[in-house]
Amino acid sequence: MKALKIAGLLSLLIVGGCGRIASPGDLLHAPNLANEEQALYRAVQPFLPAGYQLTTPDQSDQGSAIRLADLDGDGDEELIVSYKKPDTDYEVNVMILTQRGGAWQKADQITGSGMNLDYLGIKPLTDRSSSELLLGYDSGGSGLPRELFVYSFSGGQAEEIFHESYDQIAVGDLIGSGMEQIAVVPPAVDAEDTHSQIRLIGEKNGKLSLLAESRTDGSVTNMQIERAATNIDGLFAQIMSTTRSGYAVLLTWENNDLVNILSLSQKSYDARVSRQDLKLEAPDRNPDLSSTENKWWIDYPAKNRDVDGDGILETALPTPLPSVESASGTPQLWSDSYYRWNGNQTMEFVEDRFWQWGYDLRIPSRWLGEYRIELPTGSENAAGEVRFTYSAKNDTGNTVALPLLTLRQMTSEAWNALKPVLESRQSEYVVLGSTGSVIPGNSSLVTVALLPDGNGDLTGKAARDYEALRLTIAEVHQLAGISADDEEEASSDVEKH
Amino acid sequence: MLKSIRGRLLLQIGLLLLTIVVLLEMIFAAAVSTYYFDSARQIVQSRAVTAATLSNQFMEGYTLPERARYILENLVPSESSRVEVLDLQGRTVVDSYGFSSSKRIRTADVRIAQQGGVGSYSGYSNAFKQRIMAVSSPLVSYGEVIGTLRFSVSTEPLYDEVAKLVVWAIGIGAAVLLLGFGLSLIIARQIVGPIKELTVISRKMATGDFTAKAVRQNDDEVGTLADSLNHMNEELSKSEKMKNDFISTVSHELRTPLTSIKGWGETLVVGGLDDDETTLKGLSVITNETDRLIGLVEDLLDFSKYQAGEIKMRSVPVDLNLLLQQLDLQYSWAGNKRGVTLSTYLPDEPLPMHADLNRLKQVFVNVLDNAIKFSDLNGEIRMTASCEDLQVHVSVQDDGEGIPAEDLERIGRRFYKGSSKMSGSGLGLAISKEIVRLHGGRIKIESEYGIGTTVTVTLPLAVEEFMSGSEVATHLASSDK
Repeated sequence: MKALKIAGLLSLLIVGGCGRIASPGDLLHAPNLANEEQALYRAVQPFLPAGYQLTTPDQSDQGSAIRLADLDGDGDEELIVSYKKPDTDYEVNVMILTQRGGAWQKADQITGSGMNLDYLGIKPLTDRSSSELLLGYDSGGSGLPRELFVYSFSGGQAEEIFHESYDQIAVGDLIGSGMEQIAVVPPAVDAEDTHSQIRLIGEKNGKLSLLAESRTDGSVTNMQIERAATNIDGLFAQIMSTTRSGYAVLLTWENNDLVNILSLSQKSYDARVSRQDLKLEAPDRNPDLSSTENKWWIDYPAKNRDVDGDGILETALPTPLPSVESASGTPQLWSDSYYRWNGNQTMEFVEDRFWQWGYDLRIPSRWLGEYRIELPTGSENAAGEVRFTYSAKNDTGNTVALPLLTLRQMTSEAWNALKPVLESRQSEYVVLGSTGSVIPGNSSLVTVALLPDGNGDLTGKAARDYEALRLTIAEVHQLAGISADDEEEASSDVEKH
Repeated sequence: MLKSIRGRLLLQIGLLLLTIVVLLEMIFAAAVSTYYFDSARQIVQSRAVTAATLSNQFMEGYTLPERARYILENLVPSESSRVEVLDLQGRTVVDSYGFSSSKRIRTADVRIAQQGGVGSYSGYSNAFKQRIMAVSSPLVSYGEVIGTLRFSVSTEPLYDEVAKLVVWAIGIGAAVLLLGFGLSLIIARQIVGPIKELTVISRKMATGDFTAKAVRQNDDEVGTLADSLNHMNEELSKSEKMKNDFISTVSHELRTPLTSIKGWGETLVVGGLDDDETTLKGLSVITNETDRLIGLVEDLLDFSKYQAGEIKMRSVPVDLNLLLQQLDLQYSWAGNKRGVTLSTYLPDEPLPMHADLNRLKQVFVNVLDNAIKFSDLNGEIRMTASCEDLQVHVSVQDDGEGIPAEDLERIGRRFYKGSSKMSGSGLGLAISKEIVRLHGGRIKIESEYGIGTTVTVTLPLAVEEFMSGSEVATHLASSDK
């Protein structure tokens, strides 16, 4: 076959005389860009220095290195390009191009000192009709302060209107003015001092200035401005302090001040194990967030997410899972419970998620109060298997623990050995995911959910109750977020390798 | 067309060539496209895996946008693939042109990469309005997949190149077919040409043109055919000559007695029947000559019967010795005009065999007559019988003129009379040979010109008990009638 191939190619060369036969490597080129992107990419080329590297911000509302936005509010979009020059390490450039008569022309160039672009935002800060360019430079290295510069662009010139050092930044319309505000956490002045602030900077008399400030007793993490309830944006953050791990805050603008919505009494906090809606106290108006003990205490910084996809960010609350009491040494298992603010004084329970050790499973609501979680005892790797069990009384009146679902992590070799056994027993299972052995030396891990067989010799009502709790394969798919959604590109011609 | 060798040859070679060419074309097309697409996939895959592995090893713990930025900034300037960093939802964090997109890419390769494997995909991309090939490799941080690094290339140039090569191959295949067709025309002409010539010559031969000669052009089957045609023609001309000789011989043989009968008849008519002596002499000559004519005609009849295979041997157990003794008696007693003496040397024991005695007698009479005919006046012939290995050899030896070596091998063929001017049909020995052959024996003639001839008749002996002599004698008596 190979000889034939070579002979064929040779004969073609000799007989055909059709010039050089291209090697596959020579023929490869990137697929042509979609029209607009192609035009933009071509447009910026003449203005960029030789050997340039496009660069992207770490945080942004839009992560492109080349983007269109109407900065000056004249109705025409400007082209904003971020790039680095090959000969200078500590410099990041942002070029603004304007379109005149159908051709792009360089309007201005902003050169900032920094290793990387940490933040790039184009937001209306001082005027609803135009946008400012926000650039955050990273000095390179965690803990070092980052520098935020805000530029306004008019008449083809960019002008710096604001500058501040920051450790964290979030931008959004917290006030509801139609313009956006900048929330920053200034870098710590002293490494010993754990106190920090959240400063809200926004338009006041046509200029950017400090609107409000909240003080905390710990370090601020995961700060973001997102939709907190219908029509209300809020600032979500987690304050990690030395006492009681930390707490989450949700700051909103009320009566010209920042207030913390997540004011939770101890009684309400203790009620969290029931996974019911939580009743909040009146919002905490004290600019010193550490002034009250009514807090949304968190044992670890679980990330706030929009778990139900309604556009409103849910607040995470780590809650211990009901587990079978056993010998000490068994790690405490947690679920991330998610709550949505109703805009008033209630946090509505949304869902419970077992999100640990690489497992990610939404706990079905009908299990609440009915299940226990069990870890295999005496196992070296406690995370290797997690069992959800159900306690039922059988005919003889004894309490038995019946499996509802077993999650198991194993090497792909072990899974390949187990799979035929399951199939021969006709047991139901769902493969939740696998990690390939991308890193040399690490064997790939497979995560599976095993569904129980049989009804545990239950009869009557007990059997019906147990049956009602059990999951179908489709439900497991849904709970694990494995979607069988269709492909964006044409599914025909798909080759699997 | 198909009835001619040329047509069939053209058709068969054409079909064969077509099959081979089409088969080779298909193999070539498959090989070329496999080669191009597999190589391309390997190239893209090795780049994707290398880039992802580097990122996984040196940027563990960094966020996906940071890693995307690092990948973007460190792209090889000559990178020919489109490089995309996708998040877990398949959204483009950044591509090699610096753009990000919220459009989700959910092709097979991306899904495999999200599961931790290295996936590849080829198919039509709606986004690029062309066929693409993509390889995705997972970006991993602390054992967890955080995104996908996807390398994609356009496969249109590959399709174009493969199509170009296949078109070339088809062109060459067509040229090969044409060439093969031309060659087979030439081959067909080379095969059919000599056959046509032979056909013309054989037609000539059939019309009796013995001068026609096939020309042997090649040392092949057709050449052999030409040779055998020539041989056949020679044989035909020979037998034609033999036939003519025979007719003239027989005419001569028939005319001699007829002349003498006519002469005597006229003499008797003219001279009247007054002279009794002359009349008797004339009548006896007429009778003798008539006998000769009858004998000649019988010989001819006999021979034609042998030729037609109509003669059947009526074989019975007999003793050859008795026959030979009888012949000895007959020839010694009767004597002959030429004064030739016969000496006979026979074994004492009987020579049993299964045979038709009358036919055998005919053989020996013929042999003895010939010997007498070709002996010198008052010469001697010797008849000897001897047994050996259940066979009896009866040889008749004379001291006559002998047979020239060139005639020896033709002796015994029908109508062949040799160069001797003796009278006779030339059929006697041919008939004798046939009879002996039918008895399972053979006749051997040894001769030296001027010294004499020995004719040996070899016959198989029967193994069964010998019958009583009286029975044989009765047989002989009855057959003599």
